[in-house]
Amino acid sequence: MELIRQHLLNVLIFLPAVGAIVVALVHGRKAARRSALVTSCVTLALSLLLLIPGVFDWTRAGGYAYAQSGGVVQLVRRLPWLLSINAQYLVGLDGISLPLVILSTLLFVLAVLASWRIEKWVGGYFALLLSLESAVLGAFLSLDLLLFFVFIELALLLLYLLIGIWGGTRRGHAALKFFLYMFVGSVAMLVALVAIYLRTRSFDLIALPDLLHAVALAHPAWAMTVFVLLLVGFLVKLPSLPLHAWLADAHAEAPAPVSMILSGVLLNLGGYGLLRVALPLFPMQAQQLWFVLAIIAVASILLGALCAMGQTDFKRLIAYSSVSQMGFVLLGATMMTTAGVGGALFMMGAHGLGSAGLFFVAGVIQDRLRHREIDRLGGLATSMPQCTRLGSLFIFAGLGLPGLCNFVGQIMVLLGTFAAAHSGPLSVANGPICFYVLGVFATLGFLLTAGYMLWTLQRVFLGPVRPETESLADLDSIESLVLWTLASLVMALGISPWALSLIFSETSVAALVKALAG
Amino acid sequence: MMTLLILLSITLLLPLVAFVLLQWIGPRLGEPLAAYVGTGAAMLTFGMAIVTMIAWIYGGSSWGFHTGPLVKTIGWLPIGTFAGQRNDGFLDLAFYVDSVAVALITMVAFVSAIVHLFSIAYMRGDSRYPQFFAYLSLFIFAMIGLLLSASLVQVLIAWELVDLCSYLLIGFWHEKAESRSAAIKAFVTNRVGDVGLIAGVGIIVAHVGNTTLPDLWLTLGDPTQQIMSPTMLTIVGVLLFGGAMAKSAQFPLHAWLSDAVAGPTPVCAMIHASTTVTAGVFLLARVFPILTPDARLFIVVIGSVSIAIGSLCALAERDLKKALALSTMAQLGYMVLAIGVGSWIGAMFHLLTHAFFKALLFLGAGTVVHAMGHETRLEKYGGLYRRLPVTAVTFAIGGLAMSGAPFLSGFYSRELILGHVSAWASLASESDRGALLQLALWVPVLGAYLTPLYMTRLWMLTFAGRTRDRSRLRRAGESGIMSFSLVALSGMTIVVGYAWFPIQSMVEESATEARAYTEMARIDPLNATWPTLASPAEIVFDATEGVEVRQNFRTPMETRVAEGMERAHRLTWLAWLLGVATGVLVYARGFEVTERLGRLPVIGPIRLWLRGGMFFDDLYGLLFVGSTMVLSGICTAIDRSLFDPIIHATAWIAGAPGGGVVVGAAQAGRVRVYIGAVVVALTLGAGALILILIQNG
Repeated sequence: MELIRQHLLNVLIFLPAVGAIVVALVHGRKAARRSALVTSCVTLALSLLLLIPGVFDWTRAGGYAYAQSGGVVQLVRRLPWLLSINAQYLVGLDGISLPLVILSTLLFVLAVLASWRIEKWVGGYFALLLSLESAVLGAFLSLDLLLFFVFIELALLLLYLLIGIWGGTRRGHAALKFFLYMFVGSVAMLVALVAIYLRTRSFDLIALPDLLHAVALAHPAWAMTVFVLLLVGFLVKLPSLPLHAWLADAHAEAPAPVSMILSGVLLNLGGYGLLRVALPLFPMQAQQLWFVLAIIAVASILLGALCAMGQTDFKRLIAYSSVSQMGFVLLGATMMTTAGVGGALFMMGAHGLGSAGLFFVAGVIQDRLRHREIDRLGGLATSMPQCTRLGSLFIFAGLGLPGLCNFVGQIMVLLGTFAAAHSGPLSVANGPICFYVLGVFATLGFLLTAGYMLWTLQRVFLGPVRPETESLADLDSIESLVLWTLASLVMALGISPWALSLIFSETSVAALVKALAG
Repeated sequence: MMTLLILLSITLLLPLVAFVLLQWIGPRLGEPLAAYVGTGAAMLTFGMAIVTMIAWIYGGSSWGFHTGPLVKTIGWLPIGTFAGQRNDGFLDLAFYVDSVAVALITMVAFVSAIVHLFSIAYMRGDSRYPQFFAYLSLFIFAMIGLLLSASLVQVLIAWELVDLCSYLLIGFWHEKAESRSAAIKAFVTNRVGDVGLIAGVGIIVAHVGNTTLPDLWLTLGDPTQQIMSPTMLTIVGVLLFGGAMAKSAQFPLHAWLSDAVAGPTPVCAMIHASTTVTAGVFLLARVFPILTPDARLFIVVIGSVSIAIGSLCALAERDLKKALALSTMAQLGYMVLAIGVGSWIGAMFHLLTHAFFKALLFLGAGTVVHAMGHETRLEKYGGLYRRLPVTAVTFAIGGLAMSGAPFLSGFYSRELILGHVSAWASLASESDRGALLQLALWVPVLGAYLTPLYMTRLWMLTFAGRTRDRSRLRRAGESGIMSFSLVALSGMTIVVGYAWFPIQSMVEESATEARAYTEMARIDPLNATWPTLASPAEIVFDATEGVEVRQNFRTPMETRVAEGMERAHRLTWLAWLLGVATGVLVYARGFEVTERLGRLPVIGPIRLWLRGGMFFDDLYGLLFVGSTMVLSGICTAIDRSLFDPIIHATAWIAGAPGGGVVVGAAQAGRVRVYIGAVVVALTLGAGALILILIQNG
């Protein structure tokens, strides 16, 4: 057991990279696919080891950065890395990263399965995909700011390549746009990083909150600038208004498995960054800026939904619904209440599963029909009953139907928003009415979502049969496997959110909220 | 306690199991078998409900009929700790079983079983036959789940599931555009209500930290605690009522109901009688103790307006199913009004009786529609009593019950409501808003006149006289199953109102049970007196149950209620007789008289206005749907062209001229633009870096 505790995180981070090398070296497409699948499955299995009580003790899984409040991260590995600038190889796990790590390893398995039909340069594709897994896991597990940054950059670069090489007809444009937006975010983050380093001479996320506390008191303007720079870095990835324009293009051109990863993993890096870096390092700044952030969040929820309503491309529509749903993540995190932050974290996972499912359904439809124009679809229910059933399930999940996981996240965030009026740090200086108003506006997003999601359901799957959709093949076994896995998780998490997910993160979330309240 | 819990869980989960089973193997089971599975499960559920009821009546040491409710809470979501919270940091799901819940569950199970049975014949030959029964089963599950709920969050969950089932079943024939839009309309309108409910729940959670109803009665229902200001509590009450408004199709969120008849007719019997629409009234009855007088006044107004709109529009409606839908709206208006005046007992009683006769009426309409080849327009009907004798008789029974004919169930329940309303109004006449509040009495009396009128109209135009369009007649008459269903419902319609039948006493005892439970905490939620002017509402209620706050008023309340009941008794008789008489006179010769009336200068336009459902559809279409679509179009356009700041800025710096060209360049993906972007980003970044370094000193 001790052996596992010592090395598990390192293995998780580097195993996929090793797998990538293997995939690149083996001969033949079949071998490449299989070794990729084996690698991702082993990684998933290893990440599930984290759920064994002896490995990770979630009852004391306090937030890492708040030594004074008693919580510490677990499974910490610390190695010297760049000695001259005091950067370390520092990894660890707490209740906030745990669900995201498991979600990521799972989605990579599904993405590998979903990529089974890819024929273009198979070895390279899977090698990049597995490297991406390494980078993403590294980002979720690292507790050194510089290491975190490096892993994120690596992930972005790999995604850029995956979109740029394996994308659709306008992949060049989409990849470049993706790159540009991410680049802006990265520059902002890098500047913040350097600034933080110059003040504190440290990248250690465990020590930084305490170090920065004094600095932020002495230099409020500096702290606000750095906080805003960090925000830009993470809001680009989330993505929230006005930095969201890359998402629809990237999704429209990316192959379905990459879309799944993009929505289920990369976007979560943005939300994770907020909870792990931006908010804990600058809680006072977050409290000063909360209203702006909340407005951005609500605007993302509402405008994202309105834009989704106006899309004609199925994948672009899902992309905008992602913008809308990730608005809930930002809103919940901004509210700094247990329900809000917990809901934001849950929402990341819920959105990851649900939209990955929808993107895959869109991929299936494109595979059959060679287009995704919503107005030219319809009547799929007759020819593809299985696909329709699962597609509607994800659509209902997206509109927040109880019993499916998004509802839990959304209702927690909404209640967290209302609750912030009377508990949590924000209630001290602000009247309750503004929280109520924000809550009501966010709830309106709930209404708009119902409208466009159901409309989409009807235009894509229901209605009279069209001649061109009459004789389509329903899901094959791999597609069924991918979709049923996602669907059963969507249902299981919706029915039993506490036992399956929230229990692991609750103490960490509570510690984080306590730390944010100062 | 364990036994009852097990019984209830079986009752609750049986339909869910049936749903999963039918989803899984339904298509393989094929046509008759899938229906047998669904119907069998529904009947078993009804059997379990009866067993539960017996267990309930026998009762345990602290729970049971007349003894007390059974309350069970389960922590569901961690939401953090709050000042007045009773449990540590969790949002609870909660079950609250009392007599009225048991009675309602039995009713839902009975009506659903009958609807299942009826559907075996009605849906014969449909291409998605198994699916239909799967959805019906899910519907029962959602509804029973709702009836057991004792926390607002659980109510929300069950509501949304009910919405889902309504959506799936209204849009069951999704090949028809009409069904599709009706389904969306129903779901989205109900979501509008849910926004209200979520907001109300949010504000409650912010103050109390939980949403368990007994807790709320004890905290918010007790004005001495001052957890929330009366104004805020009124807002909460109105918000919660907003949710009920959508579910129970009250003005202004009523427009979805008459479109919802686009679904198969048995579905209408579910939605209009036992499930969706009753959910709203049920919630109101459950949150009754925390409704402030002002919130209740609002409820009274909305209920009255809905009675008026529903009854008037039903008078002019040309579609049989839509006319019945409008009558549902009016009847629900009575229940809502009853809640508003404080007679939640009247509301629950009427809810139960209404469920039976409305299911009867819709299933009767189902046989008619079935026999006429899915034709629903009244002008094609007429003279169907020869072909459908059982339907004609049972439809008449249902119609008479709804119109308040003496000795049928609707008579008793509506008389109770009218009596309480009358007492309320006579008390209100002493307040400064008295004259206006009198309307609250006269609108339901007008409704009591209009109901027999439009029911007579419907019956006469459908069954009496000569068939106006014989070409529509199908060979399909009444099959045995259909007749059986109708007769069974007629039997219930007749007996359910009598005092010897357990229903009425179960409704009344639930008040005693709630008292027994909350007395443990020495506060009686149902007797809450408010720091603001005590509303007559509580008084009426108290007079029927106890005499706690009587000393606040000069007149003994019992007298008021007795007077009110007597007045209501006389008025309902009179109104009913007049209504039937008018109906027979006007519609004895089919459309002849009304056609002539319609040509008159004033009546014509009014008739057109009523036929169009007072044009609420068009108004909402323009106001909300249209504006949302326009807004969405604008957002999309802006997003596509202008809202791409980074590409824009870079293109501008890279020297590309003018707005339109920039967009073009960005979309064409010119290399120059992107190189420019990189340059700009780097410059900006470096600039910021230098700035910070300077600040850093």
